[in-house]
Amino acid sequence: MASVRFENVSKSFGDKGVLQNLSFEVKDKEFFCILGPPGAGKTTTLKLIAGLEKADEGDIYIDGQRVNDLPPRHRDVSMQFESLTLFPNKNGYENIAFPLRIKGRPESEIRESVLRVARLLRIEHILDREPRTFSGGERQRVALARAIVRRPRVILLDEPLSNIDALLRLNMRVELKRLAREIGQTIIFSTHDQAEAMSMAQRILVLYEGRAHQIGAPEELYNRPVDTIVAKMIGSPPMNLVECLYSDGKLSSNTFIINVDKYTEYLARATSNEIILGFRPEDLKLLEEPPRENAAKVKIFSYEPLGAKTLVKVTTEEGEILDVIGEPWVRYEMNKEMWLSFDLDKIHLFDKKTKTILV
Amino acid sequence: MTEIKLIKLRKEFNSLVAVNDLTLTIDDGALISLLGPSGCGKTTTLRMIAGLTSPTSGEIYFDDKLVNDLRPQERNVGLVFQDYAIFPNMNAFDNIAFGLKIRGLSKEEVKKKVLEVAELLNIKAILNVMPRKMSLSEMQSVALARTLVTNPSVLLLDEPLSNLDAALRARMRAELKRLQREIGQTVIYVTHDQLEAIAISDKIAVMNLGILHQYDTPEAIYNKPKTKFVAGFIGSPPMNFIECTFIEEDGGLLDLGVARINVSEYKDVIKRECSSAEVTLGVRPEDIRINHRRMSENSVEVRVEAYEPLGSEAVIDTELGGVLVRITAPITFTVKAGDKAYIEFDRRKIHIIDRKTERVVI
Repeated sequence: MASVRFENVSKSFGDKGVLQNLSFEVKDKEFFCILGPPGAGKTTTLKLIAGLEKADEGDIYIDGQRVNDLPPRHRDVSMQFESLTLFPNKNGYENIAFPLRIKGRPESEIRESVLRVARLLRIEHILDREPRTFSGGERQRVALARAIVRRPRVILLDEPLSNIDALLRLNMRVELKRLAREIGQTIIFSTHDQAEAMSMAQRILVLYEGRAHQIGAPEELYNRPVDTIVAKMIGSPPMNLVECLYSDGKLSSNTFIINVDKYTEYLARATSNEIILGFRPEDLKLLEEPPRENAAKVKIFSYEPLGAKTLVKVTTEEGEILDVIGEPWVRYEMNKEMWLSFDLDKIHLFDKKTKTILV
Repeated sequence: MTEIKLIKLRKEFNSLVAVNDLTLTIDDGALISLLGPSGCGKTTTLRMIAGLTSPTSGEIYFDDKLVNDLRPQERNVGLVFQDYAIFPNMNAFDNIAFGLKIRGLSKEEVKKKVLEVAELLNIKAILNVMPRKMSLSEMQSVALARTLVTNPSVLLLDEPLSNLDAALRARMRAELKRLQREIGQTVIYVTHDQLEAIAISDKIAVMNLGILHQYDTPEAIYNKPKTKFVAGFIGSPPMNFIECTFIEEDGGLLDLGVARINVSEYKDVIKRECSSAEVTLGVRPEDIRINHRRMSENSVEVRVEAYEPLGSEAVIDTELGGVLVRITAPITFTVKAGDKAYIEFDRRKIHIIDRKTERVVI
């Protein structure tokens, strides 16, 4: 058993508040992600779990035991930092063995553990080589192996895939997920990359400016973001957000006039008639002719083929740019007027004042 | 404003052939990318066009004028590199104005031109700001403005967006493409990022180890790759390759070891174009259908290795006779690692590669 729980944890550095009233729980054996932009407080959160920082307020529990005052070495937690610091003068084997050596484990146990994780990470062939001969991916794997070799109660990985190239990252994503499943331990990783979070984690905590905005499974964050912060963070490209006014069962801006009778009940909960309308780029279509209902005229700003699809950027009457995902290899004329069409069931509505979701 | 012709352009560094007899025509006003992994010769090619590196042999023409012996400043090219060389002790305005001042333009002219280009790049608000107070994208824009303001007829960009984060890069890419449409300069863009090349280029020259593999529109590069290298380098996730043997039974089959698929429509081409029956099947992740049940007699059984949900779609890693086959599927299809599933290749979109020559024949 190794669950982690934060209850109303706050942390500041000087007068700079980093975490505000953070509460969340990571279940035993969960593969959990903390997602947020740089400066959101992700690394600080991990350091608080590891005991490398002290909370100003609130309680931190590991396995139900309050650990606020427990020094790092008694927490049985391992942390791998973003910058991969391998010992340059030690070979792969010794780099991985290091955490066990300083614990004074017997040689036979060290050997068995190192070989076990090396097999898991498929790096048996580089154990006797030195770090300067490693490729980026090998370096990454050795650092990971070192983080998990001790079988700590909780494994913390800070931006584990940030220093490697795109294709390798794609493969490491799969690798890391497989590893998490096979070792069956509690793993908490941080990332600023939503694709990494979405593809690997069982649940995600969205952290923004030190506050938890949403905690949920990837599909929950995608289908039902609780506020505009989450909506803008999840999806690639992220959700389009358009400011509208609500009256007489209609949402309107200079570009959109949408009949939202079916959502009257939800819109009644808004604190004002100012509403933010959200569409995912993949839920929008571009038409040559206006659709029968809810027509919205836009102009083509640019388009970028992406292979299997095309990213089209269009401008609204207000001059805002919206992203639309279109069919592959279609060419568009710059500044051409076209019409947006969308499925009314797939729109998202947010209260502009509170930024929280209505529908 | 300038058509560029490279004829058998070659550069050797000691025994290393960095660029191997490259012949390429870049149309006036086109935006082309030199794309390839590090060491493919793209930057060396760019430097030869700029005049910063002299070729070992071959010719470079700007509008039918041989420029091999012209110095960089006589070629009227603008260069922007990965690390933006802007003066740290000058504000944005002075950085942009620098090139105009040394050309002896009057104060009014300088001001007019700087404001014009700042307007175009949307950086009017930061003209008084010093570089240390700028964000990366602002520095990027200033570096670009500095180059554009001198009105070069050819713009050479070497990985100009690689220091920016993904969202910013996407935005700058759109800006850059639009800008180029408006100004109409000939632009050569060096990148190792295939998505970037596909997104902005009129044409892409794909290079590897100094050799030009294909020079074509992004669509042709993506849909009709000529070599296995091009097929594998373009696309994310990349194309799947499955080694197999062509058999002349039932009108033509590919034997994948654990399964056979019918390719009768390609039989004649394979027989005519391939040097042997040893071929590689190439198929993009989006051109494979996956289902829990057998869909037809061309369905192939696989084992699911990993399921990665990515919002509207999922990437599914499967194993087919020891080979990794990656598939993109709508998010509505769910499986978990360890499950059995069936896949089917879209036969209109498969590629068949001669394993010996690595040439794509279909």
